[in-house]
Amino acid sequence: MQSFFRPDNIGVIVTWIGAICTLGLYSILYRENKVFRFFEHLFIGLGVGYGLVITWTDVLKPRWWDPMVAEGQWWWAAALPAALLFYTVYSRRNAWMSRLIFGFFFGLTAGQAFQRYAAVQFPLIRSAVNVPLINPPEVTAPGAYWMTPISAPLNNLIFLVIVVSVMSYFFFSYEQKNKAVLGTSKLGRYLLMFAFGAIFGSTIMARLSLLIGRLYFLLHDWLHLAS
Amino acid sequence: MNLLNRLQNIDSRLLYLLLALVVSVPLIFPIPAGKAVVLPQSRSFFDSVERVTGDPVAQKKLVIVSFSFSASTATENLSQADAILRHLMARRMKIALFSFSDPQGRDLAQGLAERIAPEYGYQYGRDYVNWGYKSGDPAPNIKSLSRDIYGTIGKDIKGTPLAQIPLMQNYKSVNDVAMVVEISSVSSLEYWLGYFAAAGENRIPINYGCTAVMAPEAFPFLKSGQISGLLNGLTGAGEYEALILQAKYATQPGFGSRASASLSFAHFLIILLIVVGNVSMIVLRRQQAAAAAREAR
Repeated sequence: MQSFFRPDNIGVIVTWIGAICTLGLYSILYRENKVFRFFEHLFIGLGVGYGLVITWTDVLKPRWWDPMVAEGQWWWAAALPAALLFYTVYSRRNAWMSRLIFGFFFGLTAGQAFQRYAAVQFPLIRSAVNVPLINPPEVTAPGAYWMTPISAPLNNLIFLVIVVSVMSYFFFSYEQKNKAVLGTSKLGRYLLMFAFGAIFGSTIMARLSLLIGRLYFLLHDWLHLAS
Repeated sequence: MNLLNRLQNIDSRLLYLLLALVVSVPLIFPIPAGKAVVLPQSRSFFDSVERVTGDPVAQKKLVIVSFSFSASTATENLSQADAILRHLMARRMKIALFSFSDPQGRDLAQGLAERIAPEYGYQYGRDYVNWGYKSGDPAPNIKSLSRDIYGTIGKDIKGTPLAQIPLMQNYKSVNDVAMVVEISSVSSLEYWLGYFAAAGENRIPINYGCTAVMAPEAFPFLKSGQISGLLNGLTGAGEYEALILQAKYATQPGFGSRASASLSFAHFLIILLIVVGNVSMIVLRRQQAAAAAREAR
């Protein structure tokens, strides 16, 4: 008798497992249940296990283990006790040692972040304050095909109104009593809500995309109903 | 219970079922697609790739395609990657696949490239290579990559040292890179902008494909010119598929185009439910207020 698990059946088996996992995870939509919990834990476990294996095969083995063991670069052994310092956080007596390695990486990361902040944020700030209302220069920014001599200053004006209104909403240093300031601040609040609405709309689009992907898998790969 | 009360108390499971039906019907019975609407940010992405691939100097350089996502957002990100890789392969660019934010990106990239490559006559090691996953803090990884590609990557996913791969013979630093395409579901773009784009003799164009959730935060980078183009989720993938189809770089529409009807139908259903829910709520409140006023009299 030929085994069901022969190579030409592997694709079918994988699809069935994928379909069962998908349905198990979507069972939460009906109500909280143990099947969902099982597949949730399975998914998290798989993700972590996969990450560990890839970290070993792609990073630790070729960059640390092999040079240390096979290529005579014995000094890589010093990385092991340094890395183990992270785990001293679990011992009340030795937890102070973890601060050494955490402190080292905090310093390293902070230094890198300063450089990144300057390189990433300064052009953004420059672009945000460069909004001429009269005779704006030709817009060369990518995606700005719709910018014309009329729409460009109008766009800049709208941008300016939004920035001023939203910033006035965040002036908490003094009580806002002046009617003009109150009105601008209120406008800022509405504009913020527009922005949050746009972000939330994008979030819905993203979630629906994921649903479509899973349903396509069920209908196309599993049930062969979709084209 | 009258109709208004019922509309206010619809069982959420019924709504999920309705949503699943609305999404499924266009997938089972495809609707003939009209002319695709391509938004400026997607067009800009396409034009940027065209500019780079049309430049004789840049043609000899490498394009890095970074897969910073996992299977959970594959519907959006993998559809984008599919269209972008087809464009790059049709334009005969040398490609390095890379993953530094998520270990799953490494195999998603390889699976996709192995599926597409034969259609364009691409061979592993000659036309494209997979640098695999590099864990740890992305900042030193990307910074180091700009100076020394061999030293930072070491070996590809098959365990071959980069120096022994035919494709990688002439690509050693940021100056040998023509463009970076970051396809992401996490905030990884800033590493390329901060440590790579301006690290060489000339500024490297960065193109960005992200999930729809992240797109609103990415638009300022487009306005400031820090990124050359932006693909917004599954919609962006569909738009890019339309562009490469129009340019005859692909022979048939991809998943992004096929899913667009489902996405539109689902949006329509949600808008309809929001309107119905709000109208019924307002009318119900007015009725309750009127009833309370009558009782008070």
